[in-house]
Amino acid sequence: MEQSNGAYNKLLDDYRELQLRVTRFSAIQQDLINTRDRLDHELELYKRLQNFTNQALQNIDESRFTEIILEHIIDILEVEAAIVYIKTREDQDCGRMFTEGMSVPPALAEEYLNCCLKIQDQIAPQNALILDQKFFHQFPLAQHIHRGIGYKVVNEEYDFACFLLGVITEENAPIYPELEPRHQTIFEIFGSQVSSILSNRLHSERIQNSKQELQKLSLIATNTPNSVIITDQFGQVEWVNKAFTNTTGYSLEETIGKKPKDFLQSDVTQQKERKILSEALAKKQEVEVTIINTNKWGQPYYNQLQITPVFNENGDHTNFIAVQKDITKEIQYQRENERIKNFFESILAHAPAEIAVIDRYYQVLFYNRNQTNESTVLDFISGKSLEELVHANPEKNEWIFRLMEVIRTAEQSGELQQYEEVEWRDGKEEHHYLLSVQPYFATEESESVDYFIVSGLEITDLKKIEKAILKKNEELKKINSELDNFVYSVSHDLRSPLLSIKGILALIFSAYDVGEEVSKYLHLAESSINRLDGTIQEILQYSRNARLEVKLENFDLKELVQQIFEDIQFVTPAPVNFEIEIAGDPFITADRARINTLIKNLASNAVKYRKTEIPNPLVRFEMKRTSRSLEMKVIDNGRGIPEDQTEKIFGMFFRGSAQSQGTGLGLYIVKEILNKLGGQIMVKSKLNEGTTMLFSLPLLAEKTT
Amino acid sequence: MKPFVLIDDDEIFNYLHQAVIRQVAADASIQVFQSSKAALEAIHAAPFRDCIFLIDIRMPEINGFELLEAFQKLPSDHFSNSEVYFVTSSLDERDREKGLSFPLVTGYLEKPISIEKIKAISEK
Repeated sequence: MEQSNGAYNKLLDDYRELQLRVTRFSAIQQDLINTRDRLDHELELYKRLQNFTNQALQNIDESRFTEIILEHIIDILEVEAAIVYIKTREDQDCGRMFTEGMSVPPALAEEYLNCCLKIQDQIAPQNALILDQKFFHQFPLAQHIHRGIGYKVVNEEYDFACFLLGVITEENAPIYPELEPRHQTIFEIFGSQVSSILSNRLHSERIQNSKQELQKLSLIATNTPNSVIITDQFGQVEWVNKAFTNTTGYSLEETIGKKPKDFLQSDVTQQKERKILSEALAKKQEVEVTIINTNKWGQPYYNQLQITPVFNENGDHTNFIAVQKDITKEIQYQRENERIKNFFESILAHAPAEIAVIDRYYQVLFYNRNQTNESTVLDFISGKSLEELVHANPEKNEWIFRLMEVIRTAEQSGELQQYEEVEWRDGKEEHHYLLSVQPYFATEESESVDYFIVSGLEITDLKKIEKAILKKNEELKKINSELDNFVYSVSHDLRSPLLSIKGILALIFSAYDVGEEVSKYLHLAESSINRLDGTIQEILQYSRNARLEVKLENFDLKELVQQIFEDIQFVTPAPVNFEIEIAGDPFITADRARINTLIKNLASNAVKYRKTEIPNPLVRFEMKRTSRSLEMKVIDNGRGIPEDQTEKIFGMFFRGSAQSQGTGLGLYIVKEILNKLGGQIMVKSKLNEGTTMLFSLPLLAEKTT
Repeated sequence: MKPFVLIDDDEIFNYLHQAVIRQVAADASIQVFQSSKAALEAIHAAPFRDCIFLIDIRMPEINGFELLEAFQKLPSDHFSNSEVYFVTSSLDERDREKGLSFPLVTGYLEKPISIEKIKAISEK
């Protein structure tokens, strides 16, 4: 029994042993299954990783790229939400943050970004780090996060930083698996993949950009109007552009491998420029010179040349780039300008006047000191501004202030101003200057004066002459006036005794009966006296007309003519019909005394040469106005003038016949008066029928009465 | 007929003009001054009212214009009702103008004065 007991026990032990093994086996089996499942799961995660790489390497834009990253953080780590922060060179201070599985209110975007930056600051690069609730509690915005895992990469070559973060919130923590080292491993792989893809993207972007830049540059170089030459380090042509061919006539094929100076430079005169050029090229320095080149057709042209040496990244000299511009026309214009400037300046320098140009602020823009004359007037303004000169040149202040004042006047009026300055030298020698200030408007549109042209001219000699003339004139006036008074006194003194004889004769005729014979003698005496008086009067008229200045006044012509007719009638024995016809206003503006003499002489002649045999001798005065003159006529029905004499009657001392009683001065004086007044006279006469004297005077501004 | 006062340095004219006046009125009262100075003294001594003055312009010492200026300095009633004529052989228009510009002057006569003129003046 013991044996059987022992066997049973052994069997029981075996069974228990077996049972244990089965249990252990099934546990192992379960372990195996679990391991298999886990491996399957991990495989699945790696497949997702693979999937990410496939997707991310495709040609996608940036937003899609970040979207893929976010999606895969959630898929690979099996977390609730993901955050990506990327900063490249293009982002100035701060990068951009993208999220998935969490909501970021737009108003708080900046604060979330700051929080994200603070989190990534605490993480070492290239290491995935599991972060617990305690960690997140440091950040006010991350209070609700239970756990997470972060990875940061910083790439210096492509100058970017990238931070990836997967998180699980407090709320949903139980449904998500715990984060384990395997998550770190896979996240590190994922992170390095993101980094390399990002590098890749930035690299191709850079290539793309430089390609475009290169295209642009070559476009510019090809099409610029300036000639471009690229040579190798020895100065031999590698490339030239179209403009070079146009300017020089040489094509790319003709120039390649040659040195430009060998075929472009033929002028050997420019030693200085050539030296500068060759020295700079030997030293591999940038250089700019203007030289004369010769094109393919042998024509020289001015070439403004700029050469820049090019070095590669290692600092080795590889090329020269030469940019040249044909400035022949510019040089020609410049020379022409220079020539015109010199031309005018040489004229100004030798002009008898000094000229200065001054602007509105009294700045002296130009001044040519007179080179032909010793004395100068404007030398006091040989400075920068008139205001400065006031201090620098106190003894000329009076002149400077006067000039400033005249400039202001010229500015206000916009018109030429002239004035004189007098200078005393060595205490006695006097200089006179005439200064002119001409305001100048640079363009027709100028609203205000742009500058003033001030010119100074010495007029000392002119002044002397002017003074001498004025003095002579004064003397002449005095002599004239003395002579006039003399003529008056003489005529008065001559007439007085004559008139007393005349009076006595008149008294004798009226008071006494002297008999026929005595009476005849006395009448002869009277007529001689009248003739002598007439002569004296005419000489006086002549003298007055010649010496006295024209004096204009407004007077009643009709009244004047009436007075003349009355006076004549008074001394005429037989009656004469006098008629006056004046059209319009009888008031005229003229020299009253001369008009009086003029009409008196004409009317006296008409009476004197009347036909004594007819009962109705007529003297008629007419006046009318034309647009420019006063037309007057003295008409008579007298004896008339023989045709051959009409030309001569105005001559001095002309007497119509031996029986003429006059002196022969009457009409001569008429003619002289009309000369003085700018008038004209015409005679129409028919023998035995009558005479018309037609004369005109220029119409002067008449005063309104 | 008003009394005449003749002022002229020329003796012949004074004589002639007296004769002419007497032709018009034989009993006319005529006072003659051979010089303006003498005339001025008499005029200063007593007023000359209701007279006809015939005054020459060109006279030595005091000419006719100066004489009239002296007249004007006297009281206005000194010459009440008197008339003054300048008598001259001058042909100067300026003399006529100046002569007529004196308020006391009535007219301007040319020498020799005719009987008709004297009649015209005295009948006014």
